[in-house]
Amino acid sequence: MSALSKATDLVNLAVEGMDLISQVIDSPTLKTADEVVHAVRAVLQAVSRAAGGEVTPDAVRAELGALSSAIAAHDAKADQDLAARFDGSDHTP
Amino acid sequence: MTHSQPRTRIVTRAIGVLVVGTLFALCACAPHQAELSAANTVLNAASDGFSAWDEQHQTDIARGAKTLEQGTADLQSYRRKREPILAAFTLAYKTLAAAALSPSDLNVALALSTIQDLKTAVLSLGASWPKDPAAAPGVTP
Repeated sequence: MSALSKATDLVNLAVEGMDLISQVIDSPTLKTADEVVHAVRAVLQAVSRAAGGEVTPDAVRAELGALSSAIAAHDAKADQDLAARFDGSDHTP
Repeated sequence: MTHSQPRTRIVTRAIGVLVVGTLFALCACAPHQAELSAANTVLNAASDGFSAWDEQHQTDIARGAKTLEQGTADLQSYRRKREPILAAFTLAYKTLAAAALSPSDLNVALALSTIQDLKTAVLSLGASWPKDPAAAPGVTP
């Protein structure tokens, strides 16, 4: 991949990332700030991987941050699912 | 003329030594870079795989619970068992970053060793490990 092509991909990713973040922030379904953090970390992770998957402290922080955010989101979702099942608000078949 | 010829020869030899030395240095570093890059790919794939498995596993626990109390206890139990895995991921990423900054034999071996330990921990929890043909050297497929 040429430097120009890589730079173009990075710019496109950054634009898509900003778009994603603005959608999450404007979303009426936004529940917690964690979701915004999760979205930002996912974008950082994608940008880091698009940069060539180089092993750098920044790349490590992005990967670890994305994993931590994802795990925290899973915990919150499972707690909500469980509570919903027993308070009558769960309509999952 | 007689003085410039030996000087030219010395400069030529010096350049030759420099070129050969640089090639040796590049050859010495290149295998580590390949190893680190492969290890990074495996680790990222393992992270993605574990994240997906974690989400599904917690959903299964929540949906399979007979009571709120039992479901809460099962989720807490699972999350306690998961703690060493998350710590192992952190350690693996940090040793890999250290090896990237200072790619000595020892640092690279340590990074690969922590990924191998992570793999053992992930499999012991019942999650899967990525089956990548280009798996990191030193980490058994």
